[in-house]
This record gives sequence, structure tokens and C-alpha cells, in this order.
Amino acid sequence: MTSKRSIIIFWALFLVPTLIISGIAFRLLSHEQERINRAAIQALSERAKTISETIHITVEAVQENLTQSLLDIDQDNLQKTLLVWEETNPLVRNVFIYQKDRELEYPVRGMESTLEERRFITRYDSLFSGRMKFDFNEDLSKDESKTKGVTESSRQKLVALSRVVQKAPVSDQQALFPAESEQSFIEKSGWIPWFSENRLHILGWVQKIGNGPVYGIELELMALLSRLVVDFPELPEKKVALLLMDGNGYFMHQSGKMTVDPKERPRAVISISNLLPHWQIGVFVDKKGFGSTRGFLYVSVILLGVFIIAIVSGGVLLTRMTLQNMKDARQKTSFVSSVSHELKTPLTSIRMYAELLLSKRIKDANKIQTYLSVIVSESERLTRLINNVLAFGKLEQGKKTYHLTIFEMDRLLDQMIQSHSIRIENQGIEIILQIEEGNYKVKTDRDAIEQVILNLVDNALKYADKGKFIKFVLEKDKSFILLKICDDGPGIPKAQQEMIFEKFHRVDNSLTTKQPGSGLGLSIARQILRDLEGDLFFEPMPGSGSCFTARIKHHESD
Amino acid sequence: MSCLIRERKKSELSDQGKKKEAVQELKQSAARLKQVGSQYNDKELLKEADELEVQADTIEDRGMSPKSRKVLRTESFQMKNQQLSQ
Amino acid sequence: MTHSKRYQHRTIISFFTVLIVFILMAGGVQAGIEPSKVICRVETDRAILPAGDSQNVVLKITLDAPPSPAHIKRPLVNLALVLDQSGSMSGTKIQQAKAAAIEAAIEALTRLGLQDIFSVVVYDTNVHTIVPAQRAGNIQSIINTIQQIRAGGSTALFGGVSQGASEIRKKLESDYVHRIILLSDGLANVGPRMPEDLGRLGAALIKENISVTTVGVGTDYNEDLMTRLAQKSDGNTYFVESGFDLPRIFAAELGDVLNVVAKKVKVTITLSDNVEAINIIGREGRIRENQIEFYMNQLYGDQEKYALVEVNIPKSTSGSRIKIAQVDVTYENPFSRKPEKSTGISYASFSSDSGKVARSTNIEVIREYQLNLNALAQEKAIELSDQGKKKE
Repeated sequence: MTSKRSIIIFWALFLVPTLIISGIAFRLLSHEQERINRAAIQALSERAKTISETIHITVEAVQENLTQSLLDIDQDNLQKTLLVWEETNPLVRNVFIYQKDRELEYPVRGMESTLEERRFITRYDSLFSGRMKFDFNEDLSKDESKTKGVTESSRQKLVALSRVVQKAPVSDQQALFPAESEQSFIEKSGWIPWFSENRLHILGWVQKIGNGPVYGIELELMALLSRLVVDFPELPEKKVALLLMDGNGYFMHQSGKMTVDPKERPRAVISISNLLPHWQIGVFVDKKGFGSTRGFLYVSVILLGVFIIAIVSGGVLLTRMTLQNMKDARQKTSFVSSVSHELKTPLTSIRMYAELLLSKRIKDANKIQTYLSVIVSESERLTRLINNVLAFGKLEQGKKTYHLTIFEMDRLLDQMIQSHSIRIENQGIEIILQIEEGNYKVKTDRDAIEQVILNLVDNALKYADKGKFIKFVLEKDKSFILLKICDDGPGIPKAQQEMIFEKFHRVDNSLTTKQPGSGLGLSIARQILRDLEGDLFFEPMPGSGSCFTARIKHHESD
Repeated sequence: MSCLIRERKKSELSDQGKKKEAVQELKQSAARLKQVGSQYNDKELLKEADELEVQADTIEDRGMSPKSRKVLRTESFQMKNQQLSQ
Repeated sequence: MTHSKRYQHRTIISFFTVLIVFILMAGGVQAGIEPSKVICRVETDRAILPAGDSQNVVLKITLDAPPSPAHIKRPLVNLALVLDQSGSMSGTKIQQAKAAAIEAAIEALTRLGLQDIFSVVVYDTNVHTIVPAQRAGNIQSIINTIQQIRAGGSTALFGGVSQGASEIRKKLESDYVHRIILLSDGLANVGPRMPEDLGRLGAALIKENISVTTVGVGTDYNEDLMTRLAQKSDGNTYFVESGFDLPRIFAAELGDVLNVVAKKVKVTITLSDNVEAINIIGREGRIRENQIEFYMNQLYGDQEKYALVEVNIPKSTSGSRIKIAQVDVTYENPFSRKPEKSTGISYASFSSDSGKVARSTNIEVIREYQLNLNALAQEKAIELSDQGKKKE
């Protein structure tokens, strides 16, 4: 028992670290998954940044060019030129001319204007009514250009530089103190991101002459957006999306095939540009992760599973084998002792009777005869026993050779019963023989079959010695000859019925304690029959008793 | 329970919008077409008036269905644009 | 609805029309080769107006497009087909509609000439150009590509139209008739989706002479958005309940597109002194002081387009006659690629004889006026039925 427990403990010691290691491996794997996700989001964010930089540069360039074009307009033809712009340039939504301290010059207030123009006036009323200065956000943009200089990409710097060059004639002092002379060129300009009714509008304005009109355009954001989204790069990945979002979080454009719920929060957000305030690019990643890296996780989990299963089943197998070996060892020990016992009993008898005969004190010829026959029968028994042990050894090693001859089974059975009838009848057991009519020719090893029958008879005599009869039945199946050897002894409990054919097995009860035996007979008999393409099986007799059926291949069936 | 029914009724009403007024508007327009049509004995105007009346009745019965709305919107645009091909 | 009769080109000018038509022949010598010009007619609802107080008068400015000449090669077409392949409304019905759309598109394609430009853009969540702008000559490979369209994802309508426009732009400088045909059967849910936003996109596209024709399939699309886009870009709009009507629609639309006889049509109405603009009915235009302006991207052969304007005429005496307005039409002749000009002038006579006035009624002006008022009433009805509705 102690060894069994130690094996289980050993096994547990083996299993626990395995489980711990696999647990750690699993955690590492999911961390790895998380890391891959993070890396993907990082990569996507980088792409989003590139996109937003491109957008920023584009919008900036557009605004620069428009500002320059506005400044280039011939002041005498101002309104006409602006109207042509509005009619022909998709980027121009509205135009305006505003003269400080005077009414808005264009568009005019009232029914002269179109609905769009009236809404335009209302939208920028605080500017057009003079309540707010056009350059109210100048400080902001100046601050920006200072800080931006540090982090900007080289290309942006270049654009910024060109802007500075363009703006060179603009001096803050001039802006603060409007020049006295009417024709002083100040070339002030600016772009105003303007929120009205919760939507972004962009107004560009210039003032060329100190006391001159402020004029400019409202940018058509839809046209701008329409051009921008066309250049949005496509994402081939299925489980991700980059979404251009406006200030209200509405999706303006999507790249990537993932279906995004409008309520879903982006995993990362990149602001596009101060020129389009509150516009962002949202990075979305499917919660379940990406297809490719998912696959990695699955493969890893499967590998891990296989690994664990291999370890556990290996452990189980080892344990089982160890237990089996222990059992075998025990059985071998008991086999050796029982065989020794078996050998010792006839030897003792033989020695005793031989010594008696040698002392010549026995004069009675009958007695001498009896003693001699005991010696003969005991030595026969000894021979059988040794034959069995030898046969067992050969069978175990697979070295048993068979010499096939053709003979008649009924004949063999008759002969064997005759030669053993005395031994059987001496035990007070009746012999019943039933042979069906027919041909019982077989081609098999005669000695081996003899050994099988002998073993079965010995078995019956040993375990059914209180019985009244032993019955031999010979009959024919389709291609087999069936030899049944039955007794009316106590029979075999159901649970044991298959185990009796195992080597060294003995039905471990009161019966066998009285009856020494090797536990080899039935095992050898079955092994021999199977080697000869037959079989041996057990079936209980009705009432009590047992019946062994040997199946032997019919010769004619070949 | 009654609260729930009231809720449902309220939402039904709001889903319908100002259905009555809408039907009224269409019927008025149909009446005007009919009047002008008969004044100048213009078959096209009368036909249009009849068609509009049927449309108004349908909306009165079943409400402004997505289909009715699409028909109205498309027809009015095609009229304003003199879209021939349809 | 068969308005066709009503708009058919009329060559006879009714006797009661106080209208003089000037046809200014720019290259009059070549008249035999070049197609006839667009004719501009200006009519009032009554040829003779009652004398007396100032009054409101309806002016109908009609542009009669000449038939497309048979012996001159028609202007080339630059067509972008923008197809909705979103799968948000997946179901056999929609699948059938999509299949029908593809079939119809293929059928339409076969009507294009070898020199025409054609492109196909499909949109779902993303936008893909599956056939970049190319000559329609290579039709079989185009058809093969279109047949591989599969549905899935959301509806990026704005992106689709933008991409279609970008395909058109590849040939923008050339002398083509630019047209996007947009098919949609669902609600736009990626990109701007307010009707006003799409209207503004249309307004921006028409500045590049790109018109967008919108085709709504089924009852799930947003008709406000689709009509606004068509209206602002001077395209057509269609509503079909099932995909089976699509071949007819495509045929009709191509009938228009392949039949353009005037481009970049600008109508300027200059009102005489004391005549005041009151209102524009139906069409979108702008009133600027004493001028009213309209713009149409294209005129189709043998068709009539008109604008209705309500004006106020000053006091008058019986027997007098005044000039109400002069209408100048400038457009580009797509055959000769030269600018052309037509002019129409409207005069009004006054009489105190009410019988005379009544007899001078121009039923066509009245009819179109009434029908346009009806169109506005229909829009009003939609607006009313929308009021108080829960916001979605």
C-alpha cells in the first residue's frame, strides 16, 4: 500500500508543476495576445496620425492658396470676382464683403439675398454686426505656430515657413494701429473655425487695405470633405477601422471593414488639426481581436492542450504500468510459492513411498503394487505440472512450436478418457461422454490438444471434487469442433468468469486455499487454442457447475 | 396598464406627425387644381387633381407610409425639374 | 404619370403669345451642319392684362431644346455608376434588387459608345472603385467585374458619390457630358447623412458640371437626401419599388444623358424698370436686384425645361404696352463646343375689356403654374406629416 501511495504522490508531484507551468504559459499567451493588440492599435494610431497630418497639410495648403487668391483680387472688381468664385469654385460656399462701421456690403441683409445667404449672415452675425473682430483668434493661431515648430514634420515646417514668408509684410503693430494713410497695404488675413448650430463652418477673410473692406469666403466643407475622403487610404484588415469623426462624433468616413456601432468608443483618438477643430480619427479594433492574431492564440492553446494531455496521459500510463508490474511481481511470487508447493507434494509422496519400498519392510505384494502405482501417478502429475510450466514459459516467450498432424478428435478424446478414467473414477466422479455423429477430423498439434484437455480435466477434478459427474460433449459447429468439458461443482462467480483465463489467476476463495495450483492451466489452454486458430471460453451450467468449451478448427473447413 | 396604453397612443400620434394637416394640404391643392381645371376645361389638371385626391385618401387611411412619402417627394421634384424620363 | 405630351417640343407659337423670339445665330453660315439652337420663349399667364392698378403676373420662361441631330456625333459621355452594395438590409428581396441593378447597369452599358468613359464605384462600409474610369469599349471585362459585386456592411453614400466624382474628374477637363448615377436602397450611416449636407455636395459638384442622378430602390432609402442631391446638382431622381423597374429607369436616364444638346445653361432674366420680382416658383434660382438667374447643367434633345417667376407690374392704362423682361440664355453647344446665346423678350398689353383679357389666357402657363404650386403643396404635406414626429 505504501508504494501505491508513493506512486500517487509522485504522480501528483509530477502533475502539479505541469498544471502550474501550463497556467503560466496560458497567462503569458494571453498577455502576448494583449501585447499584439496593443501593438496593432499603436500601428493604426500611427497610420491615423499620418492621415491626419496629410489632411492638415492639405487643408492648410488650401487655405493658404485661397488667402493668396483673395489678396490677389483686384480691389475695384471685388464683388464681381467674388461672385464668379462663388459660382464656379466648389470650395466656396458663400462670399462676403464687410466694411467696418458700415452695413455688410455683400450679401445684403433682407429679401434680396437667397435663403442660403440669409442663413450665412445669421450664422456670422456677431462678426458682420461688428460685435466681434475678425482677428479675435489671432493670438491663438500665433501661439500654435510657435509650439508647432518644435514637433512638426519637416514638410509641415516647410509649409509653415512659406506661410511666414507670405505673411512677412504683415506686422502686428500695423494691425494694432491702423495706418493713417488710406492706401496702406496691411494684408491681414485669417481663418476662423466657427461653430454654429453645433456644426463646424470655416470662414476665411482678408483685409488688404488698412481702412478697406474685410472680405472673404466661407469654405464649403462638404466639397473639402468629399475631396479628402477620396484620398483616405484603404485598410485591408477586416477587424479594424479608422473613422473620421466630426465634432459630434458622427462618422464622416470609414476605412477598414469592421462594422462599428455608433455607440462604440474608439480605442484611440487622434485629433486631426486645429484647422478642423474637434475633428478626429478614431481607431477601432474588434473586441474579439484580429483574425490573424486570434489564430495565433488558438494554435498556442491547442499546442498547450496537447502538451498537457501528453503529460497527464503519460503520467497515467506510467502509473498504471507501475501498478501492473507490482501486481505481476506479486503474482509471480505467489506463483513460485504455489508451484513449489505443487512440486513438493508429489515429490514428498514419491520420496516417501520410494523410501518405504527401499527399506524392504513392506512384504505385501499388493501394498508394494499400490505404492508403486502411487509413485507412477504422482510422477505423472509432476510431469504434467512441469509440462505446464515449460509450456507457459514457451508461450510467454512466443517460442512454442506446434507440429500439425491430422487426426480424429473423437478418437483422441476416447483414448484420453480411457487413460484417465481410473484417476477420475477414484475420486467418485462419473464420466459422461456424448459424441454426436459425424466426422471430427482435425489438423492440429495433438500433444498441445492433449495438454488442453488434461488441463481442463485437472481443473474440473480440482475444483469440482465434490461433484457427481464430469461430462464430455463433442459436437460440431459450422467450421469448428466444440469440445465441452462440464462439471457440477460450485461453478465460478460471474465477476471472475473472464479473469480465470488470466495467467497466475486463481479464484481467491475457500475453494482454492484447499486446492493448491499454479493458476496456469486455463491460461495456457486458452493460449494454445488461440494459437491454433481456436478458442476457449467459459459458460456456467444451469443450476451450478461450470462448463468450458474448446473450439478447435475443423480440418475439412480449410 | 392604462399608463402603458397611454404611452403607446402618444407614440402613435407622434409617429403620425400632423397627418390631418398634411391630408388637408393635399386636398386643398387637389380642390384648387380641380377648380382651375374645370374653369379652363383642362383635362390634365383634372386628371392630376383626381390622382392627388386618391393619394390624399390613401394617406388619410393608412398614414404617411414610407412609400407615399417617397412618391410625393419624387413627384414634386420631377415636376419642379420638368423631368421627362421616368 | 405621362407628362411627356405636355413638355413636347412645340414649334407653333400660339397666336396670343406676346412674344418675340430672337434666335441669334452665332455661326449662322454653318446653320446647315450645326444643330438648331435652344429656343427661349417668355410667356405670361394672360397675353392681355387688365389695365389699372399694379398687379402680379406669372412669367413662364421656356427653353425648347432642339432634337439631337442625327448626322452629327453626339457629345461623349463620362458616366460614373455608384452602386450601393451594403448588406444592412440583407434579405432575398434586397438581394434580388441588387442583382437587378447589376443587370440593368450592364444593359445600360451596352448602349454606350466606344469613346464614352465609364466607371463603377461600389460602397458599403468602405468605398471601392471596381471599374476605374476607362473607355466603355472594353465592355466584357467591365461586365465581368460588375457581376462579382457582393453585398455587405454599412452604407457610405457620401464616400461613394465622392469617389464617383473623383473618377469623373479624371476626364473633367475634356468635353464630356459628366454624370453620376447613384443607386441606393438604404440609409446612409457612414459619412454625412443630412439631406442638407448632400445638397451642398451636389451644389459643389455642379460647379464642376457634374450632375448626380439618384435612383432610390425600395422603401428604405432616404428620399429627402436623394432628391436634394439630384436637385442641387441638376440631375434626375427616380423612385422604384423593386429592382425590376430598374432597366426602364436606366434606359430613360441614358436616353437623357446620350441626348444632351446644351451644356452649362445659364438663364438671366432682366426685368424692366418698375417691374419687381416677387417669387420664383418651383425651380431654384436667385433674385439679384432686377435680375433673376437660373442655372441648368444640361438640356436634353427635344425636351422642354422652364422656370416660373412671379413679378409685379406697375400701374397701367388701357391700350398701353410695356416690356416686362428680357431673357438671355447662354449655353455651350456640345457639338461645336462653342458658346451660344438665345434671347426672349416679354411684352404686356393692357386692356380694360375683361372679355378680351379672359380670352387671352395662356392655359399652358396656368397649367404649369398650378402643377408647380401643387408640387410645393406636396412638399408642404410631407413637412407637415414630419412635424411632431419623434426624431430617429
